[in-house]
Amino acid sequence: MKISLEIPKPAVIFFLIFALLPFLFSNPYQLRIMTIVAIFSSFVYAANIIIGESRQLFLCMSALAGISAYTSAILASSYHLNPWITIPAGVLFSVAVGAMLSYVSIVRGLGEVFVAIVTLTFTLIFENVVLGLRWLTMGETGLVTPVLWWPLQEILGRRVASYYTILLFAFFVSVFYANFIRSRLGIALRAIRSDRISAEVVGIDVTRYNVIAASIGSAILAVTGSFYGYFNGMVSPGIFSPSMDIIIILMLLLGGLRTLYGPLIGATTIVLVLESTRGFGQLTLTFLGIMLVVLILTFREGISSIAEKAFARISGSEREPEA
Amino acid sequence: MDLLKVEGLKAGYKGLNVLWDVDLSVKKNTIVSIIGSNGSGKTTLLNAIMGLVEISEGDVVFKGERINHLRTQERVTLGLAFVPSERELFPQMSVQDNLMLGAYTPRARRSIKDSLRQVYDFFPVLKERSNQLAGTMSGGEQQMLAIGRALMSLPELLILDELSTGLAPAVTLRIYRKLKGLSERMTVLLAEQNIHQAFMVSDYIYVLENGRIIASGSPDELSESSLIKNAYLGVKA
Amino acid sequence: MNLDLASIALSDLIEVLIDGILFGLQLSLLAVGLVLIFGLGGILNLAHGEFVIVTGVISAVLISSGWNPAVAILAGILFSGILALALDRSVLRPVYRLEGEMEVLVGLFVTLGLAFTLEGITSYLFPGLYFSVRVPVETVSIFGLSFRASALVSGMISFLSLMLLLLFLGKTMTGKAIRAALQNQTGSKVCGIDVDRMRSLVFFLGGLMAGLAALAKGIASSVEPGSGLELTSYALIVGVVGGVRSVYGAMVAGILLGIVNALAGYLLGTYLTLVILLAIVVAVILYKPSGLFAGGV
Repeated sequence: MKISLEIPKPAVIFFLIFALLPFLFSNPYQLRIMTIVAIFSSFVYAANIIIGESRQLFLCMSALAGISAYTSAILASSYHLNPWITIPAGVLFSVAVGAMLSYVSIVRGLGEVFVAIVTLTFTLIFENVVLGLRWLTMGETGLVTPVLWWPLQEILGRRVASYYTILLFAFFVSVFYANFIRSRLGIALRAIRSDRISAEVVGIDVTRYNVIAASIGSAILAVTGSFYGYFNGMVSPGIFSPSMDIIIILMLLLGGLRTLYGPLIGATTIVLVLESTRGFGQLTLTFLGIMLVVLILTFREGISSIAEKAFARISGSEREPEA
Repeated sequence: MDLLKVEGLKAGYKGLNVLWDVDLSVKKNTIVSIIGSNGSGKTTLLNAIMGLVEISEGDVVFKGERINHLRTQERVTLGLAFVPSERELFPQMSVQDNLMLGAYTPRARRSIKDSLRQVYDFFPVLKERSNQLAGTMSGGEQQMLAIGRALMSLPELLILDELSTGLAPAVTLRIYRKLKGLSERMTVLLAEQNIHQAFMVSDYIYVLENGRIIASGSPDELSESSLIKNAYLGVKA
Repeated sequence: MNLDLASIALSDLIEVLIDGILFGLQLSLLAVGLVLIFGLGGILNLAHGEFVIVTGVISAVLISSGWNPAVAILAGILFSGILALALDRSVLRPVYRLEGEMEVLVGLFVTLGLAFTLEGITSYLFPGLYFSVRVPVETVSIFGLSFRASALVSGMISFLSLMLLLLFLGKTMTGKAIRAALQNQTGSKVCGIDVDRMRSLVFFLGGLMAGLAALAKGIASSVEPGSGLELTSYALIVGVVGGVRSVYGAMVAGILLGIVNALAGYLLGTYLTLVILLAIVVAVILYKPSGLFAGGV
């Protein structure tokens, strides 16, 4: 078996730029925004795998990220464990839940719409369990997370160290995605997307591949969710709320479904839009809503694929089209 | 006078053309049949006349007016009525409600009571079952209900797709006799696979094959044609 | 937590049951609009709860600017109907041109976007505003059982609204045409029914029903901006359990879930009650995606 790891150059350049940013923008507010961009681009890559590649409309990405963040934080503080030990436990929990949701909905033959309803309901259940189990989760106020040691924090300081760890993970995720779509799994998922019945006929195990895709996506969501919690210093239902799913999907659609750079472009744009409209209070919701409507009606391809097409036209090479 | 004229019609589904240059005309107060084997394009032709299938070329002219651009419901308002081969009833509504909805157009609504009585006279079994849900009736009864519903709109042209499917031959025969009686007031266009019955009731017949009209004429003329004898009537020439 | 059922007095239980039914009627009223719109429009309208909020906001604003409350509420309900109609005629048009699963999916996201848009506007323009109608009498006692008068009036309004809707759908020609279009679109066209117009009408009706639900909720408790998505999720729960295309199903499911809600609330507390309701939805979707009471419009 030939193993060739592809590290896409534009991704390297993009992340190098991001890695240099702290030298230009070093105040805590700017660092925070940059970290959030990195967090959300990982979230969006996960969404790209679950929703884009395997076409499972999971509206429970916030819950999957939240489950891991809460589990890790609760375990670490109750048993005085190092959070680096409890993060894998939280990730395992989330992956189990994500895989189960995927498995059950495929086996029961739910269409995309019912998957959306089931997972949205699951998100609401998660939210209410967190609110209801006050003795464990501190309910609405949220749980203060134990302190996580970020690599190199003694040299760089906690803020910059956490930024680099999270950015490095996002870079890892983007490289992973680039290789994922070329892998056996990615090709199988592409076959299932274009014609499920034929894919089954040639022996592609639809259930297995979809569950694997959901598990991988859940794992990315879970790791990122835990980092998000520790970076924040607390986990609360407000952070992992249903509107997080909407924001992730908006980023995905804006950047472009099933594209390599869409998540980076989408996450950066939306985080900046959200930050710059902060002064409008609740009207931010309206901006998000209008963007969602306009995007879905007029612009389902996303910025990244339109840019790619324009680029292909200039350079004369064509990327194979996909239905 | 031609009540309905189809000229140079090309139609089909999503990039797949089914009908090629079909010409056809239906004279007032006659019964005209389109015969042809399964997949010859009969249903597509009727659907195109009713506006349920998009026309890519050619014209459909009803009462001298080009109706290509009209939506199905507007064609019904003009005086076309259709009994689809799938019947397309409202399964969770009573027989009577199904019939009443047949008279949805304003013109038909004015004489809804009379029409209902006439349909019940025509098909007494529908009267007996007027409160039964349409979805629970037998195939033959549903066919009668579909015809009754179409009659409720007081059509000038009644279009029937595959009347005989799902019906006992004796029932089909009875319905055809009744339609024959109606043709003094109404014009009928029907698609049939059952050639013998089509020959019995029709004034004029078109033979459709692979989306093209390959022959047409009165039943007498056609039964003389060796082509038809061989292919459809099962008579060795 | 007290789970010892024997220790609960029978009269308490009856009160809880009736409370549940009254709340259930509200849920039914909330859900019928969603179900009607999904049945004919093919759009799972995630902005449905916002129609409720809009009625509440408009009514409260008109009342506070000196309108007669009855006229103000009527205007609010009508406004929700017109808003629903306007959405059908504008942003949702391109969605209908899509087919099958794609139509439903895009519809889902467009209405979600609309929900956020409306939620943002109403909470931005009217922070802290709430719509509530007070009933002069506090409690009513019947056969020695005491009920909150507001809950009774609210339940009655819900019941009457549902009955009016059923009468309209069952007895009038237009209502029958709507049901016909829900059951078979080709059959409807062949009867001369304009399915597009029926869809617009259904949106208008759905908006009115949401408006009436705002009235019922305003009497029983209150309606305030920001809770639209929560109301939508309640309507969705009822709709899914009843069968997302069935009006009768939504009515039965609403009452049933109202009772479950009251009993669980009595025994377990608010959050876990909602968890139970949501778990019922998941169970129903997995066990019988067409809903428990599907069939019949």
